Order: sequence, then structure tokens, then C-alpha cells
Amino acid sequence: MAVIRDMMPAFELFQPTTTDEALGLLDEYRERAWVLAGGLDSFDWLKDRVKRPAAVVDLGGVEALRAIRPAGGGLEIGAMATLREVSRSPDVRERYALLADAAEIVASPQIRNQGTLGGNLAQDTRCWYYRDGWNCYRAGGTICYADTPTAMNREHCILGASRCVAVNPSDTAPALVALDGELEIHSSGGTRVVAAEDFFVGPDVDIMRMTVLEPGDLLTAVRLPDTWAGARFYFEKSRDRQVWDFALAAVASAAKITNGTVEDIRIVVNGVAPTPLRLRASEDAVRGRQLNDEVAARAGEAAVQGVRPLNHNGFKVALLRNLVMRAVRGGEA
Amino acid sequence: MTAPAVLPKLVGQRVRRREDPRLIQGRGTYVDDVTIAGLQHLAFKRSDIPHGRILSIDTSAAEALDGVEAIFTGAQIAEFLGPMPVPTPFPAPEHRAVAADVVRYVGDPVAVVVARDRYLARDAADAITVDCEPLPAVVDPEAALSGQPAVLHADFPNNVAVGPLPAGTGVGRGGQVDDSAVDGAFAEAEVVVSQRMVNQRLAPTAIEPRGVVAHFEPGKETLTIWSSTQNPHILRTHVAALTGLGQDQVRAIAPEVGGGFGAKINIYGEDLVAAAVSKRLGLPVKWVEDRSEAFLATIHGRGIIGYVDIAARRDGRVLGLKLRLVADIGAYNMLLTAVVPTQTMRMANGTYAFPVVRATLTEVFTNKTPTDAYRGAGRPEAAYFVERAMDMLAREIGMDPAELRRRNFIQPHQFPYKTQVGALYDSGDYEKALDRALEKAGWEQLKAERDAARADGRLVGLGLSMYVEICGLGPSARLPNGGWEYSQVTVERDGRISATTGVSPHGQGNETTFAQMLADQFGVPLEHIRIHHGDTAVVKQGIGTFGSRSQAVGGAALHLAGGKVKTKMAKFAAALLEAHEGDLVFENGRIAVAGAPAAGKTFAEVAAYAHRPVKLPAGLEPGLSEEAFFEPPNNTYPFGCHIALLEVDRDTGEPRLLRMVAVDDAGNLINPLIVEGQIHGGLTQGIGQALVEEVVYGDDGQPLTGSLMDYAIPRATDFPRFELDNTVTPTPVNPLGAKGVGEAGTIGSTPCIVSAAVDALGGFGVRHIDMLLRPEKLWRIIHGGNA
Ligand SMILES: Cc1cc2nc3c(=O)[nH]c(=O)nc-3n(C[C@H](O)[C@H](O)[C@H](O)COP(=O)(O)OP(=O)(O)OC[C@H]3O[C@@H](n4cnc5c(N)ncnc54)[C@H](O)[C@@H]3O)c2cc1C
Repeated sequence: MAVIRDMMPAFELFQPTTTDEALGLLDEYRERAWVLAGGLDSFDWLKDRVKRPAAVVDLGGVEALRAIRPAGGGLEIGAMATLREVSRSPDVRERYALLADAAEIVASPQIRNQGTLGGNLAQDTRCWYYRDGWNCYRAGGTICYADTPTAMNREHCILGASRCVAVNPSDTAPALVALDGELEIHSSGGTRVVAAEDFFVGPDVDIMRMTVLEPGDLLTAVRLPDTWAGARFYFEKSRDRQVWDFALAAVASAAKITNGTVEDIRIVVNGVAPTPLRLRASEDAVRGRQLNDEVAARAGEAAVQGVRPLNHNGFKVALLRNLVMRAVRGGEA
Repeated sequence: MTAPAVLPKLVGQRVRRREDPRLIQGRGTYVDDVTIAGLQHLAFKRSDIPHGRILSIDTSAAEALDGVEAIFTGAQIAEFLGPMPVPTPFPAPEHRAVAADVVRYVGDPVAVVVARDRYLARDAADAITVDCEPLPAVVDPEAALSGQPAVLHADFPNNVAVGPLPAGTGVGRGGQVDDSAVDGAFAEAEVVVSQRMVNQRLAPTAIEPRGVVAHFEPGKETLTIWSSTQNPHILRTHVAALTGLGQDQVRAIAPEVGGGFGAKINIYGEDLVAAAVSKRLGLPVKWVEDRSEAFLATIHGRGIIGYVDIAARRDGRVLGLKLRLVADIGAYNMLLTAVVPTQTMRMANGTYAFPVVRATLTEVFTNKTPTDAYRGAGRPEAAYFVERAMDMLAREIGMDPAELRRRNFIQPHQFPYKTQVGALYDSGDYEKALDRALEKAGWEQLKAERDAARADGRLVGLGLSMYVEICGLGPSARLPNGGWEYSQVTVERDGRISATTGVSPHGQGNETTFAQMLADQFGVPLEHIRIHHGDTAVVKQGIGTFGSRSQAVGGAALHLAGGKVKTKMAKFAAALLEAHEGDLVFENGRIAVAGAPAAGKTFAEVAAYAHRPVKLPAGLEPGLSEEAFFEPPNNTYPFGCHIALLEVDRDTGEPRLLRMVAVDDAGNLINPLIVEGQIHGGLTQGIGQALVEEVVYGDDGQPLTGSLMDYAIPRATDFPRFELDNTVTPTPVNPLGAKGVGEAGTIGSTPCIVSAAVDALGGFGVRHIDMLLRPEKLWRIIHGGNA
């Protein structure tokens, strides 16, 4: 239902300047707190009056969370680095162009100037029923409105759904998974490091969350190991409108190729499943082989094994296949 | 004595917009920047169902909130505010600014909150509960014509708001219809192309949403209303009438206005409610539209289905055109709602000499936001239907689309040309614009490149469209508030010039173009001239800015007023210089006898003398201030030719615009830079309709594009660099020869994008694709409908 809600309801605003101060506040307010990074997902929720936190913890003043610096042969990117800072960082560009390309195609320049890498990874799904405040599974209810006979679901899952059919919308997420990235999470209870692939959770694990982040948790940094630095990268995102738009399907791939033979490859897609999805069968179809159209076609076929399209998103199957084929070919026709 | 500096002539020059520095530095004052002590804030509670009968409204929880000044339901508002004004010539149902008994679209207001701040007002609106008995939602305009599933307004059976209204060949003055000529043309045709086309609804989406501040001062019994409007004088007229005040008691101000695109012509319920509530409570009140509210509460544009048939011979000669229109006008008539689709009928001839034309229009009520004027207002729809059909004809008979057009143009010697549907085209040279565009685009080479790309398996298409449109709106007989324009020009005591204009620019750049005109007229520097607008207390009369009229009508009034002042000033100068006024020239900041500039007086000296005429020349009054009203005898009809090159990605269906060439003829140009800016914006919105913009309603009448997240508007970086050129065919209907250009880009571009896509996918047997050109739609065509 279209209800007008651009005015945010009242909340307490905190603007800490250190990570510890932020953690203290998150610990105090727990599930009543909202972490605010660039605000591009957050403000939607607040202006739509669907989420009503008591306290908002604005990380904008925590300088320590913004740095991009070499670490252990790889790179560490602060959660509060903006998407623009990520895409323009020479370190990222030179060695991890895949992430730079993904960050560069998010939304619009204004949003990339304001939105952060941490926020982009932790952002919520765009399912319109859920975002409009309908009491669906993800909101704690007992139904998925997007998976009913009259539902509008052309932008939803074709793979990996479990009750909820909403997809992960992040462009940087598949790139991070493809690069074997890791995420550093702090809470008052301590620090943990999670592999990117494990950071995102599907509804089969927890239907009310998109990531492992829990109340009290603060994502502080993203780490990129040197495993894929300088590999052959491919990122492509298909969308309805050639202006800013979320992905109907996106593919991120990193490959090591010697004399035309694929020594190793990562193929990760997003926009088609509840989490960014590493396509191991497609990778297996390519690994160790000479790169050619036939191999690419086989990877494409492997990608769509087991798809379960909904009423209106059958086109995503062919889209996924085609994007995977292009990713394997790496942009060469 | 140094020789006077030479001032260059400015008309026709690329003078940069004087308004831009303040706007891009954030120094403009918009409605939301207006503050007044004691200001209260309004929030509207709106219907969240498309159709229903209001059973009860519970405001108690909202009233209990500390800081809520008052709450009025629709029924309570009706006690002190009359129905909305609908001055069009068609009957219209009663429309209340706040619905009292039935809600008819999602967004229809049902109550208004007055509170201390806007957040509280919003919270209070949320706390109101409305109990409604839902009625079936009327969504599909064609199905609605059977009166199913409901009738919106009891006095309008089958939801017919207007029509069927015939126009064109065989239609008599009284509306009686004789089909023989039209039928004859189609019977004799060797080929007929027929197509149903949908010109989808759009949301005008100005960067500044609407807003209003109303301040009734009980002691003075005056009301000042600041509104984000395109026409403060018309607003004043209606606000005065509806609040029971005289026009002398109401002052309307359009401060800086952040775009309108036609949507801010309207007299909106929120403005009237703000005025009435301010008067009722004796308090100043403000309302500023939320961004998502704008998608429901501000009019939509377009939303019309066209059934087009063209009869022709195989050699490309057109014999006749039929255009049957069904307009989905939404729930109520706003100011010009009913008139806009009639402009589509009026432009059914396009640039072609169709021997016979028959247009028929039916306007239908549906449970949606009302439609009204949006950039182009009826003409883009006409150009779309006619040009798409011409393109289909070209494909059908295997003729180059440019050649087909060339064979059917109205010829230059035929102007003024009365079309079959009754428009009187002022002047035109369509072939010249076509040729210029073909040359600019490199048409033959482009075709070869396209064919080569196709041979490589790429899906590349070329589209071409002509357009002709209506500008310079007037004359008075055709507009409910009159179609003239007003200006006053004053040479101040110090030799500076203040001018007022009744047009109300909000992006058109008249502060620059009008100053250019006066600078040349008086031979003074641009910096010495200021153009005032948008305040009924400063600008004594006016109509406003819409229908690409500011230059052609407002500029003409300015020119006339300036001429009157100049004549008077020459008399003062002649007295001072003891010369004959006919021998004087105004140049380089001086007034002097022609050929002897050094012996003259400075402009400022003559101005000072006119304000202190120690010896008043016989027959003159002191002072240098004159006004003029200009009534245009006819509209102007600018035209042009647009060409697009577009590629569709075979794997994903994504369309990509590769080139966009636009040649426009707006008559004489005052400032080509500003003209190009107008065309850039217009093209962007026109291409936007083809590629990204669409207001969507679900089958249940719920709007699905209720925010900028779902409704895309194109940005500057989304399209290739536009390649522009122009031809110049002056109009005889005003002294400037200028036709107007505000809407042109929007009109020609849309059909040529769609034609380019059809050309790109022609190999798959497609003849027409309804907008918007979504990748999925294109991809399905490529893959024969198989997902
Ligand atoms: C118009 C528009 C178009 C968009 N298009 C795209 C697109 O094409 N592709 C795309 O990927 N995204 C897109 N987005 C989403 C946008 O990129 C993300 O919302 C944005 O990057 C989020 O970053 P942020 O810094 O603004 O996060 P916020 O909105 O501040 O936060 C997002 C979420 O993450 C949580 N969070 C943020 N930082 C942390 C942290 N350090 N620790 C714990 N939790 C945290 C917040 O609590 C919140 O739940 C679009 C958004 C808009 C408004």
C-alpha cells in the first residue's frame, strides 16, 4: 500500500567518535539501536516509518573506520570507506579491480559518495512487500507475500529460496565473495573474523536477517587476501533501466589463466538468490580447461541447474546463464 | 573625453544564465525557506485505498498529541472551502480538496492536521484512523467504459468524462459526423497500417516538490500565499474566489521554483486548504510535499491509448489518418485535465498533408491520480502516435523512413496552413529540418554502419521522427484565464532598468533572455537590467509560464512595453539635446543624434532628467514607466526532426542509446545557449519516457511506483552527448519571430527511440513495441517469447 511516510519518527541520535564508544552504545541499546553508516538504506526504513529504532548510532564521526591500507600481503578496507573511496583507491584498482568495478556500478555518483562499503554489504533486501511494512516471514509474520499466486515477483529468487524469496541486492557482495574476502566484526564480547561467503545468511538459517550481524555487532573492516590479487576479473550487472538500478542479476568472477587454460576461477552471482551465491558447479566446469565457447556454455548450463523460477521471473534463468557465459569468456566475444 | 565603449548586441548571443550562480550556490529562496513567526505545519491524511466510501474518521488520538492545533476532516473543510475550480469547457464532477464522502484514488486527502512542527503533523496524521467501505477499483480505462467494475461519479455514466468527441474531416461545427470522405480514402488505399499504442502515464517529478505557505493577517484582512507555482496570478484569482476574498486582498508569490514541467500550473487542493485554514485560524501555515507524496498528490501526465490507422499508396503517398484516443484521466478533473487530450487530437496531422483526418477522443475516469499537463501536454502523444504509425508504414512498404516523410510534408508555400483537425500552422519548412538532421546524423553512412553491425550479429537500429507542436499559448479565446501576457518596463532615476513580466520563470532563463532584449533595445549593459517576476504585488498582471509561451507571448509584451518607454525617453532626450527625437540613437549607454555620439547625453542623465524635469516638455508626464499587454493572434508551431541510433544487447535485452541527433526550429532565437539547455532537458525527459519512466498501478488500483526507488528518472550521465542543430523559420504571429522551445525536445524524441528499437529488432518480426523499452520485453522479442 502506498502510504506517505517521508517524515522520520523521532529517535535518540548518538554520534560517537571512537569504535569503543560506538560499541558501548550498541551494547546498551541492543535491538533498539540502529547502526547508521551512509544512511542510504537506513533512511529509507526510517522515512518509510517501517523501522522505528529508539537510538541511532551514527558512525560518520568514527574516523578510524574509514582507512584503506595494506595488510598482510592483501588489503584492509574500513567499513566506513565510501563506495567512491573504494572504487577510486589505487590499491583497490590495481590489485582488486573486481571490487572497484562492483563499487563503481552501485546506484549513482551521489550515492557512491555517501554510501559505505560496510553499509552496502550489510544492506537489507529490496523486496517491496517487506520494505513496505507488510508482516511477512522476514518481518516476523507467517507468509511470503512475494510468493503468492498474484504476487509481483519478477525481481525475486530463482535459486536457494526457503519460504522467503527475497534476494540480496548488494553489488559489492559477490565481488567480495569471489575475492575470498573476510569481514571483521566487533562487539562488546570480542572480535571475530568471518569469511565473506559465511557473512551472508539465507532464510534457511535466519529468515529475519541478511547477514550474521546481530544486535551489538559492529562491522569494522573488510579484508582482501592476496589470493586473487591481479587476477583476470569480470563484473557485469543486468538491470531494468540503464540509469541507477538494482541488479536483476549480477556476476562477479576472478580467474587465473595460463596459456588459455583456466587454473582456478571464482564465479559468484547476486540478485538471484537470498545470498550472493558461489557457483561451484560452474567453476568445476571450467577449472583446468582450455577457455572456449563450449566451456563457457557448459558453465552457463551448470549455473541454472536446479533453478526454481517464480511466476514472473523466468527470464532471470536465461539472464543468469548468459551472464555466467560472458563472465567465463571474460569479456572476449 | 574618451570614446564611449562599444556594447555588443546581445540578442542571438550565447549569454550565460544570470540565474544560475545563486541557484547552484544554494542561495535561492524556495517556498520551504519561507518562515514566519508562529508558523504552523499541515499534514494531509490520505486514502490508502483507491476507491471507497468513508464511514467514519477517528481523530481523537491525533488531537490528544501535544502541539496539534487543529484537525479538519473533509466534511469540516467543506464548511468553509468550496469545491475545486475546473474552468474548462467540459462538464466536470464536483471535486473537494479534501474528500468528504467517497475517496477515489490512493492519495485522495481525507483530513488535514495543523500542528506545531511538520514531524508532529506527520505523526498526528498517522494517528488518524479512517474507516472506509471499499468499492471496486476502476483501473483499466477501456474496460471502465462499460461502467465496470464501478462508476466513479454518478453523473458520468460508464465513467465517460468527455466524448466520444470527433474532430477532423467530415465533422461539422455542431459535431455531426459524415464518414464518407474518410471511408473513401481508406477504401482506395493500397496499404493500411493499424496499431494500438499506449502512451503510458508519467510523473512530472520536478526537483522541488510542491509547497505552500499561506498567511492571513486578520488585522489587515489580507492573505499572502507563497506557492511553488508556474502562475501566481491565476493562483491568486482562484484563491481569492474560494476564500471569499477580493483579488485586492490576496498576494500570491512564486519564489524560486525548482521546476514545474506543467505540473505546477494546477490549482491544487493543498494550496486552497492552506489558504482557507490560515484564514480560519488566523495563523500562518506551511505545507511541503514529501517526495513520495508527490507521486500520489501531484498530477500525472500522458496516460492515453491511441488506435492509429494510416491509409496510403505503395509509392508512399498518404491518403488518410484515423486516430481514436482513450484517455485515462484519473479520478477528477483538475485545471486542464480535460483539455490536454484535445491537444493530441489537434495535432493529429503532424507535419503531413493528410488529405483526410479523423480523430475521436474519449476521456475516462479511473481510480488514479488525475492527469493534467506534463511537458508537451498532448503534443508528445500526438507526435508519438503519428510518427510511430508513419514509421510502421515505411517498414510496411519498404521505404526509407526519411523519404516517406519527405513525400508527404506540408510545403512551405502552403503556410499559414489549416489542418484537417483545425489547427492553423503559422509557418514551417519541414524538409529543411529533415535535411539538416539527415546531414548532421550522416544518415546514409549511419544506415551502412547499422547494416554492417547487423552483419556482425549486433542488434542496431535507427529511428527518425518529425514533430510539429503548439507553442505560445494563447490566444485568450482558448484559455480559461486569458492568453495574453503583461510587462512593465521602468527606467529608474539612475538609468538602471527594472522590468516586470507576468510569466513566472522556473528554469526557462527569462531573467537572462529578457535582459538581453532590453539591453539591445536601450543600448545599455545587461548588468543594469533586472527582471522581476513571480509576485502579484510587484507584477501587476500576468498569466504565467506554460505552453512554451514565455518568449513568444511574454517576450512580446516586454518588447512592446520597452518600446513605449523608449519612445517617451527619446522625447525627454530630444528636449535636453534640442534635437529631433527621430534622429536619436540609443547606443553604448548614451542617447545621441545619429552620427554624433560624443555630443549626446548618457542614458543616466536622460533618466535623471525625466524624473526631475525642471522644464517638463509639453505633453509629457514625468517618469519613465510603461506597461503593455500582448494578445497573440495565434499560436506558434515549432517543429523539428530527431534521429536516434540504438543498440539492443542480444543476451540481456538491454537497450543502449548510441547517438541522438536533434534539429529543432523554434523561429528566431534570443539565446541559443538557453535554447540548447531547454532541448537537452526536453530530450532527456522524452527519452526517459521511452526507456525508463512509467507510473504503474496494480490491477487493484494500488500505485506501484510510489517513490523514486521505483519510478526512475534519467540523469545527465545516462545518455550520450546530444548532437544539436537548428533551422530558423520565424513566426509572423509576434514581433520577435520567436516560436518557443520549452517542450520541443520532449515531443520529437520519444517516437524516434521506439522506432530505433523496432528497427533493431525488426529481424524478429516485431512491428511495434509499447513503452517502456524494458530489457525483459526486448529480450522476449529476441527469443520469440520464450523465457
Ligand atoms: C536510489 C538507490 C539506489 C541504489 N542502488 C544500488 C545498487 O545499484 N547496488 C547496490 O548494491 N546498492 C544500491 N543501493 C543501496 C545502497 O548502495 C546501499 O544502501 C548503501 O551502499 C548502503 O550504505 P550506507 O553506508 O548508506 O549504509 P546504511 O544505510 O547506513 O546502512 C545499511 C545497513 O547496514 C547496517 N550497517 C551499516 N554499516 C554497518 C556497520 N559498520 N556495522 C554494522 N551494521 C552496519 C545499517 O544498520 C543498515 O542496516 C541503492 C540505494 C539507493 C537509495
